[in-house]
Amino acid sequence: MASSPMEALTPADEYSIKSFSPQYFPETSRIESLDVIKGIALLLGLFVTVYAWGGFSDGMQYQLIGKGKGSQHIIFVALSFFLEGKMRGLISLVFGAGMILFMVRPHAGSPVHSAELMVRRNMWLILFGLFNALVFIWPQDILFHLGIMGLLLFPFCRMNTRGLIIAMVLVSLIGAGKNYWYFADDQKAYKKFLVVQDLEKKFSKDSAARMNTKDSLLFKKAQAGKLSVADSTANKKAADSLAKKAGDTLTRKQNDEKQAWEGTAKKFIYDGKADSANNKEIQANNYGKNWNYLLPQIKSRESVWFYRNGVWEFAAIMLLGMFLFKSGFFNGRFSQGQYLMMTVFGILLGLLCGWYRLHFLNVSILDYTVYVKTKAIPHTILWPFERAFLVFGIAAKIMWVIKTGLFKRITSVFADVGKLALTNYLLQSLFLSVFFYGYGMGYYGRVGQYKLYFLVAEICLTQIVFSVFWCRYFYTGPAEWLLRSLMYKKKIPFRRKENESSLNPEQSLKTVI
Amino acid sequence: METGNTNIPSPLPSASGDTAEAILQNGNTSSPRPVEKSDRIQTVDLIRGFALLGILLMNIPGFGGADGFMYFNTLSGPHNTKDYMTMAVIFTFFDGTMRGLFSMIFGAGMVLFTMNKKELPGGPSVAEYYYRRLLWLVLFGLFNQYVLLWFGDILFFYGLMGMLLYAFRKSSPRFLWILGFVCIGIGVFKSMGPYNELRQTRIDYVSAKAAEKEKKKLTPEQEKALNAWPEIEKNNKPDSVRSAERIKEMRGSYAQVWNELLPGSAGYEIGYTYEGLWDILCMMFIGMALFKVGFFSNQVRGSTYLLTLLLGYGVGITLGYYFFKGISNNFLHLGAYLDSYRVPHNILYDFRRLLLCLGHTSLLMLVYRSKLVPWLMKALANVGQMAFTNYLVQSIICTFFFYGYGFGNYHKLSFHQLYYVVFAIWILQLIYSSIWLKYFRFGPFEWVWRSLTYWKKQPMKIENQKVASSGI
Repeated sequence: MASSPMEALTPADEYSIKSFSPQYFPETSRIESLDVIKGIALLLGLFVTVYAWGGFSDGMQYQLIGKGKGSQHIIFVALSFFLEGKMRGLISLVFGAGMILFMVRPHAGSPVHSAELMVRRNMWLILFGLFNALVFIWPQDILFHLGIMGLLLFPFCRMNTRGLIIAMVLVSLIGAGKNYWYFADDQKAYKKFLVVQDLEKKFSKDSAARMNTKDSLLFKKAQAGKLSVADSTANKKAADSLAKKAGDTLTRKQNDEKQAWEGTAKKFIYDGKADSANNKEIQANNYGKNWNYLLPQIKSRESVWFYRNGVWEFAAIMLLGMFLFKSGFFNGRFSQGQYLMMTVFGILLGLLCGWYRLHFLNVSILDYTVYVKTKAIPHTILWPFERAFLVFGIAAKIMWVIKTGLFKRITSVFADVGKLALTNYLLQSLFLSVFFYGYGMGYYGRVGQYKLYFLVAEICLTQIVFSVFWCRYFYTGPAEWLLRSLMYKKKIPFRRKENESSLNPEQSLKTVI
Repeated sequence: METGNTNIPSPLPSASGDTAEAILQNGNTSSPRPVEKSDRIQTVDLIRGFALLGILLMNIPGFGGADGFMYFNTLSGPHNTKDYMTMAVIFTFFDGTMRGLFSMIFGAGMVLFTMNKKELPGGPSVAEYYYRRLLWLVLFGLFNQYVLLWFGDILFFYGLMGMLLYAFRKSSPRFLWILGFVCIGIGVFKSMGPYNELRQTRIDYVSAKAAEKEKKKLTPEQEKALNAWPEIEKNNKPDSVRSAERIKEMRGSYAQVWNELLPGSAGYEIGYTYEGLWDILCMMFIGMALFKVGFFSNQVRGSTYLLTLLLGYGVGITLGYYFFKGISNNFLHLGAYLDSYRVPHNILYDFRRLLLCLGHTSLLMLVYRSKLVPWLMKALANVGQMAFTNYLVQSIICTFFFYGYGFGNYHKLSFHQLYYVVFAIWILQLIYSSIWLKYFRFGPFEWVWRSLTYWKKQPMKIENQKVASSGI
């Protein structure tokens, strides 16, 4: 068979980069806008991930949303609107787009096919992720997930734009459907709880009736007015044994059902005791103890969360990134006005979905039992769309800024951060791990909201300066260098020559737009 | 000519010659004599067919009844019953080996699929077809798990694990052997953790109990230990209430069965992928290594097969029986087991089944060479050629036969009676596979899978019937 169906699926990539360059780091075929977006997402994302690093527990966050007032509340909610899940989204967006770039960009100097390199890169990325999660003890690592997603979505690289956007919408719908499903489970649990509760009421009524029969010893005592305090425990015991005789006790299953809901009902409630117990564990000044304590969280994030939610969250945005890449979005195909329109469209719709989420989250926090009783839809239902719209809007905004060419100096700085994204990401983990966990400085749970933001701002500043200087002397960051060397199975040169400089924003932008 | 390797078909029908070439080039480490093209590929199908039928031996208790309860009753009862003897034979000879063989052949098929395809820079590559194929396989796995309701599906995992294999397709057999044993090692290491923890609980309990006997004052930790162990022991015993409930649900409607299976299915897919992947990967790597030295393609000397047969069965069966006694002991008397064994029998699991897999393969190869029962070999190869279809058909038949929305025979047959069902299904599959392949190039599900992979309807009918029957 001469004609392969692959060709039928190959899109006309008229906007994707096809330049050839006999280097391992073909900078002319780098798309600067991807680096800029990556850099911005990497730095801003830390403003929300720092909550988990610093021991600002879920319960505390819910309390801040539900009962908080003043600037702390406002800043928290604003960050939740714009950053929570969206910066991770932007990174997935760029990762998805980068996959296609990787496939169409020639890897000259290497006899290996791009597909082969792609597979190797993603497998190494999985190991980098395991390293980040297991050595820096960071349960919310994303490299592990990105590596797996890179393998899973690899076949989509050749899909056309229409197919990609359909796949993206389908995946988002599945994500929303699953969020609904989890809520429906809560509703079911509540219904079962109500049945058990009624049963218990009936039992206690029966038991009281039995105690009031005339031949009951306690009844006689009470009649004579001789019932003492000690008798009240005896009373309870007697009632229990009578109930057992009458078969009036909850079965194991009923007990489980009761407890299941009682746990669920508390999921939005701040539990100070649990928090301080948690803080104590993580503040323990022993690496082994920290590791053992956090290991279940790492495992659950990498397995249960990924299976239930993560895979859909990553897939949706990565597919969006592939779609946008093939539409020429990152190459500056559209006009300034068009990018501005996209920004307004994306951000407005995203904020609308975000408002829905936060409003109903607020209602859930106030009383989840009432919420389950009265509402049919959970606050998370629009989450996949909120992310997609806002990620799209923010990306369009960044593209607009690049397109105007007004802030070249600034965008090139972020591009440098983005070029070293992997290095910077791992450095963040290293630093925050040492700073917060007990084996290091042990600031976990001891730093307030504003101080956390301040800390992150300091980290961002450091990383910006570091990245700009590093890029003057080297082609690529140390972690990127390692990944590439492993991928090509040989040592790659990464020092720039004396007179060569990357600080030439004008030129690099020209190649982009 | 169809290569017969339909589990991992070549991307283009015209490229089928390449696969045979590939084996010629890569399987030559110990092949003194050239073997017919069709021979080589057929033996892979033969082993796959054998493994596919064999896998039902291990799956049938899951389909047929509340297995934990059934195992417990059978193992704790007298040893001269049919049920007990069936169980002893099944566990000694087959436990884990069919899944192991299937994984090995999957690895071999992966090498077959990707080998010797020319990859032009920039052009479409084998990798893309391969990953597309596997992504569909993952979806088929989900279909088998959540729609056909076979809660022990393996396609899902094979799809995912296959994605990890690609990078190793060109590795040397030696390196693959090392990888295989590293995976076995990791598996053993990971299983030791929970065992040690359990054992510590038991040790604490025993010492607390001793202290209690001597009427010493117990520390709070000892009090805790006294309560912790009986709880574990209680949970270890099959819960008859829970079993009864499961049987009731499984004999119910489709929705009831679905709801009953859901938590277990999700947990299985998560746990087996994340914690249990070594179990699959080790055998896949070893399978790739064995394929590369020509072990599956009938390229090894007869004496080598004879020696691996002796070693595989000689040691494997002994270990297998010892293992069976060990785990049933563990299952029935957990406390005493923990007291007497520092290391559980489970660490033998993979070595035992590796040996048995070698034994099974060698036996098959020797029988194949001897030409004693060519009709049976041909029939098995046919089953193997449409293995994907046959695997799903096993799910369809068994769920309909046992679950409530079908004939509702769930938990009605005793352990040994379940194997009558297995024999019936075997005969059925041997017959229809042979008939089907007379008229069609591949099985119906293979056709769907293939068409989805290439996103184009694939030709299915055989134009010239002579070609089909010359498959062997």
